[in-house]
Amino acid sequence: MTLLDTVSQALAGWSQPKAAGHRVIVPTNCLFAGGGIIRVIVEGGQNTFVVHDDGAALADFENAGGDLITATKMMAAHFRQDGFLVDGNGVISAPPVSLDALAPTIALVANASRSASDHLMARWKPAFRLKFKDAVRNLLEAEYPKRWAHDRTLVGKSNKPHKFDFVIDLGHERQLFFDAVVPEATAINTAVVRHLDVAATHGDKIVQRIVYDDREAWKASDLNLLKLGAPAFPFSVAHQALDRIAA
Amino acid sequence: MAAPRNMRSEVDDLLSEQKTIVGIGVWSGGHRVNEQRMALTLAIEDTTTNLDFIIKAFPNEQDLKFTILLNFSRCIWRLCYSDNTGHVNNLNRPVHLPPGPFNSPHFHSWEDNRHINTSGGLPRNLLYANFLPPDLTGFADCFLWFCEQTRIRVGKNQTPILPPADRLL
Repeated sequence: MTLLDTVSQALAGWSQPKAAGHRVIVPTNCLFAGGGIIRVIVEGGQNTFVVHDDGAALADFENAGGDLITATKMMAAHFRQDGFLVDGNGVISAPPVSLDALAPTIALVANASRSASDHLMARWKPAFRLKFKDAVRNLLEAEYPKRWAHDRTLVGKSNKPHKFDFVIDLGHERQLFFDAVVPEATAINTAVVRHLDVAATHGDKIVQRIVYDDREAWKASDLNLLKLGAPAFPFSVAHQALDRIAA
Repeated sequence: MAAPRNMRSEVDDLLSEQKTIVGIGVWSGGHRVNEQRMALTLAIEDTTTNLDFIIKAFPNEQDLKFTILLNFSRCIWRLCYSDNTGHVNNLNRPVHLPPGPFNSPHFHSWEDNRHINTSGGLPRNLLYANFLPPDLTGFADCFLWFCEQTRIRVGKNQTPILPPADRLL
């Protein structure tokens, strides 16, 4: 048996297209980020075929725990320039194609499905991320009652007003401005820019810090980026860190 | 105030505790085409948890198809019962897991996936799967097995019954 025979035989073990009512389910060689095999559906007649993912991208996202009310609209916007259609159920389809375009369209729809799932995952904020500021707020209320406030604005060197998540009164006209940041590019970048802009214009009456949610995994590079904006400490030692500053 | 613990430890603790199903589960449609869902509430010592215990049924599929998920915001345990959804384990899979493809019922356990993020966070995806034990053939078997794996006590009449097909074709 030649190598070609062996490889061909191995590949024959991969799922093959199968009929399901009036449609054909085609297992592709594309995978979702989580390892799910992407299968697309082909429907149609003699000369014209419709290829769609049967909502597989949305199902993959939801099977990872994802829940976005606007998911289908986000998918539609994601593909606005690419020619794919997304219906209200999150089914991604290509416009009808002829037989000669069927095979490449199957590959395109499978890749579009992967792209959509990645797009949703990147934009989904699990509930525990949204609740991080609540956790910080609870800590402040317990440890520094009546000495803290939230959403206070300072104007930076650029003359742009920046809203900080929390402020603690340190006494002697000193104030601690700090942000609660989760491991997301937008949250990190905006916090760093805010702190840099403000640091350039305020004196030692303003102390700046960033508290990051260490219940989640952080890349060292992101923590290094945070440090550029202001000294950063993890939430697990926030009480001790704040006490040292307030002492 | 107690220091917060990392997410992975929280999930370890939640899974090791004995949980009970409280309330009555109801199937609801309107999520996706041909999909009905039941969301069950879990409690530990009578206090509800932040775990979401979800069953997805696909009553109009030709073959039996359902998904059982346990979510702690992100999915931490999943059983996929279908011949139409496949999975492949990647090259870094734990040694005891086969590469796949999993074209038949399989499960993604916390134990096989908890190591994916190294500094305390939860995995974005449950990358690694294993085949279901072959003796699990119907929904009730799978549901009870899933509950056993995740330490959920199932009381009398608490095993859901999958919804019947609501269209002819």
